[in-house]
Formats: sequence, structure tokens, C-alpha cells
Amino acid sequence: MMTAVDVAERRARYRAFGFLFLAALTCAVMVFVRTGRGTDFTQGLWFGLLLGCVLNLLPIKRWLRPRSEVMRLLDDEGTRANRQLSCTIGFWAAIIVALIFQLAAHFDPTIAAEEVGQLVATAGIVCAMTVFAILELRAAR
Amino acid sequence: MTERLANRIKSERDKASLTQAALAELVGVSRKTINTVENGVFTPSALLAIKLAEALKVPVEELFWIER
Repeated sequence: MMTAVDVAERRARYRAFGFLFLAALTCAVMVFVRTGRGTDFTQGLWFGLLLGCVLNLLPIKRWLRPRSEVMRLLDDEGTRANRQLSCTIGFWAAIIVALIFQLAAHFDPTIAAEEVGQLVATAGIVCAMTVFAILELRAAR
Repeated sequence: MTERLANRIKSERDKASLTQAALAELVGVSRKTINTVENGVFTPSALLAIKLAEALKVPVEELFWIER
């Protein structure tokens, strides 16, 4: 019989792979949109994916089911530390991309605010999700 | 000068014939947290350190020490 620790271990691994998949998909959709093939649908898809990524980075399941043993294990001390580190790295990735665009705007003032916002948000979230997934998979080795 | 928290969780765990998962169950954390603490990747909180010492039945200062 599987214990709560085993179930949490399995779910944590699925979550990490899910994060990598979501990050890759968000990047792919953003590239699709930014290379001029974007439609209202793909713009909406990107926004939906980004929102999904943000919500996944939060321990929402733990908040919704605070008494669940598995949910508690999925948001234990080690996971919280990984989440904190990944969000910090995501924050710095977003800042770096924003600064690059700030510099680039001096040479090309036609850069659209929408484009900058999309790239900054994607960089921050994708970095945070990728780092979180890598830290979780490395911890589970 | 760098300082790190070293530990002898693995040897104490082996002495107590516990797997990482069994120790995780006793302490109430995931196996990967035990794994990262054991390998020195993650520095546990005082609360978790005391819980680990209690589960392994050793004084906390024998389980963890500062390595300089």
C-alpha cells in the first residue's frame, strides 16, 4: 500500500514535469505570437497559459485542502524553499529582460509596450517554473 | 570564510534501519526534503532539525554541527 509520502513523491514528480511542459508551451506560444503569426486566439492562449503558470506557482491546493496530508507534504519546508528561490530567480530574469528593453528602446523607439510586457512576463514566469521544476527533480533523485 | 551545516543523518538513519521515506513519514515531510537535508543541499529550520533528532533518538547537536 502506498503511503502519503509515496503519493506526494509521485505527484511532486508529475508536477515538476508539468511545470516544464507548461513553461515550454508558454514560450512556444509567445514565439508564435511575436513572429507575426499571432491571432486574438493565440494572444488569449498565451495569457491563459501565463495565468495558469502563475496559479501553479502558488500553493493553491494546500490552501484549498489544508487538512490533506499529501497536500501538506507537497508544500513542505523543502518545497517552500525551492519555490522561494525559483520566484527570486524569476524576478531577476524579468528585471534583466526589462532593462535590456529599456536599453534597446534608445535605439529603436518603436518597440511596443505590449511586446515588452509580454516578453518580461514570459521571461519571469518561465524562468521561475523551470528553476522550480529542476530543483524539485534534483531533490527527488 | 564559509560555514555550512553538516549532519550525520544517513549514518543515524542506517543505524535505526530507516529508509528516507520512513524517516520522512516519521517527521512529516516529503522524502525529497530528507534527501536534500541529508546531502547538505538544504539547511533545515530549527523545528525540522529538532524533529529529525527526535525521530532518530539522538541529541540535535550530535546530528548537526557547523563545518568551517
